[in-house]
Amino acid sequence: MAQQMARDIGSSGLLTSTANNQTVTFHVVPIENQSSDEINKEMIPAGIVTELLQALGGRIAVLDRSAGGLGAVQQERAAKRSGAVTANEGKRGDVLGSDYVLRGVIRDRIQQSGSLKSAFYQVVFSLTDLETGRTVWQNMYQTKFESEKSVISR
Amino acid sequence: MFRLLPTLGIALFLCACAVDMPAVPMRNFVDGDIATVASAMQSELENGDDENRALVLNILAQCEQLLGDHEAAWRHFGEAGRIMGNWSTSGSEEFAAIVGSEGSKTYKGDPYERAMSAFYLALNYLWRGEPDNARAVLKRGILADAEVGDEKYQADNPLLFWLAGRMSTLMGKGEDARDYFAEAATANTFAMQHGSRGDASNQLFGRPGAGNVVMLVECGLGPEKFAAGRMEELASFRPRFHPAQRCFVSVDGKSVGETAVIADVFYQARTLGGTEMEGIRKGKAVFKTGALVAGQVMLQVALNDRNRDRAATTAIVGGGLLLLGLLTSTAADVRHWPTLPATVQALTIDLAPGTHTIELRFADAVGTVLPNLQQSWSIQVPSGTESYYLFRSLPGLDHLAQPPAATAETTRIEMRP
Repeated sequence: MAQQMARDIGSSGLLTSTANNQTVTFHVVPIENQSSDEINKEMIPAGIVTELLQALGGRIAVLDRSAGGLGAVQQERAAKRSGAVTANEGKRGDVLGSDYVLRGVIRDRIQQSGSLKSAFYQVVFSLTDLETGRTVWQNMYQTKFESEKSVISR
Repeated sequence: MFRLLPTLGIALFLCACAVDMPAVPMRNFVDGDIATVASAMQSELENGDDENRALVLNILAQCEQLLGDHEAAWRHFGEAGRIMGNWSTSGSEEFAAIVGSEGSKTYKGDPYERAMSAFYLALNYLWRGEPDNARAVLKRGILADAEVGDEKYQADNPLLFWLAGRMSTLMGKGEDARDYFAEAATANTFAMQHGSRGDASNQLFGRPGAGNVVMLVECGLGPEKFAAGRMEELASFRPRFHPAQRCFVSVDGKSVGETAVIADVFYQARTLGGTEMEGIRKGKAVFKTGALVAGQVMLQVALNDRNRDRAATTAIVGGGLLLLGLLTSTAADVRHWPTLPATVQALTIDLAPGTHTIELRFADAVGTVLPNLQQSWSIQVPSGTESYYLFRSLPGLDHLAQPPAATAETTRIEMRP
């Protein structure tokens, strides 16, 4: 799914069409889970980012907006500015603003008949322009699992 | 035909091998010596029976939670939950379930144990800042409470519904929250009508979304499972005595009230959909009679079959079934989670952001305070969000670990030039 997502976004041209040859920036938030199964919220977004970076390389900039990432950036910038640690003057710059945010939500519908259970999962990803608030891209991925209940139901 | 012989051999072996309850140092647990219990469970994980893995993980995770190691608690509750989920199993497990002794099966917990495991895992997800995953786990716990075998029962665990409502609010899903709160009130009314402890005028259901600080307090000790019946074929429940039944709360020296029961664990254990169970294990006794009948029928068919090869196969299978029927153990499986509380209680309050001192005074049924269980905690209430704390009526816990961090705040970018 991550590969397909990355291909779809890449082929939309959104992440590479900018004015003045500036690099498009975006960040990814952990997927929102509305299903009945707990999930690793960062696995799918991490897969998408990996695929996009491999496909589009230096034409996009992925920003780390996680609490840990931002905290590390703040701490290091403060240490450099105060002279507590050395700073590479050539790397000095502003923290980049994000042009887009990639969000996802997973939902499910569970149906049960006797000992058979089917679970239908729908994952919707959308790219939002953070300047205008407009959703510029959205796609949906669906999958279904069927399973049989164990005879062990202690 | 000869492939059946090893299978029958394995079946005979399984009939004889029951898995015992892991040795849990309950005296240490009741005395608040959680580290010793954790160490014993770690040893059980390494050296004990694999069939008890989920049970041991749950007890270990509970200890890790009390000791403040929430990362380990989250991992271990998660693993226990995956084992206890009853929608996937291997073929050998299915076979063992049919012919082996009850205790030879992988422990997957009774519905009330699965519900409590889900409750703890949900809290751990919440403390990691993932209310959506917490809600997903609570949904699973609600299903586990209502679904036993192929039967569906009235879901009557108000705690899981109420927390799912709170999580829905945190997720910004107001409509979902209202539905869950309504289910929580219905579940509470139903449970009380069928013998659960509780309070009909419980403010937790009257104003379910109130308060930015949620205190969940576990009182007493959960039920004990024992073998009953003429052939000890029924696994039944009885309460374990522990004096702590109520909790009075003070904040910064001022009384804010008493916690209210939101889950009666003993009621959850001994009932299914509000109906008191005679015991678990009756099905196994029925199977024994069925196997004897099936074996006799197959032997008769073999005698009448003119096809010699088919007759031989039928006779061996029939004879094997008779032998299995005679050897199938009817002893009840009394493995259970002994460190659960008798009740989960809750109190919600509004506190200003900043440091506050919480004092908990546990009391017996008539309100006599138990001084050795008194606890004093310092908490940091964040601004702009809710915080959830879990406490337990065991001595000295406030000397072990600080209450876990509140729900994660929204990240704000404050960059300096």
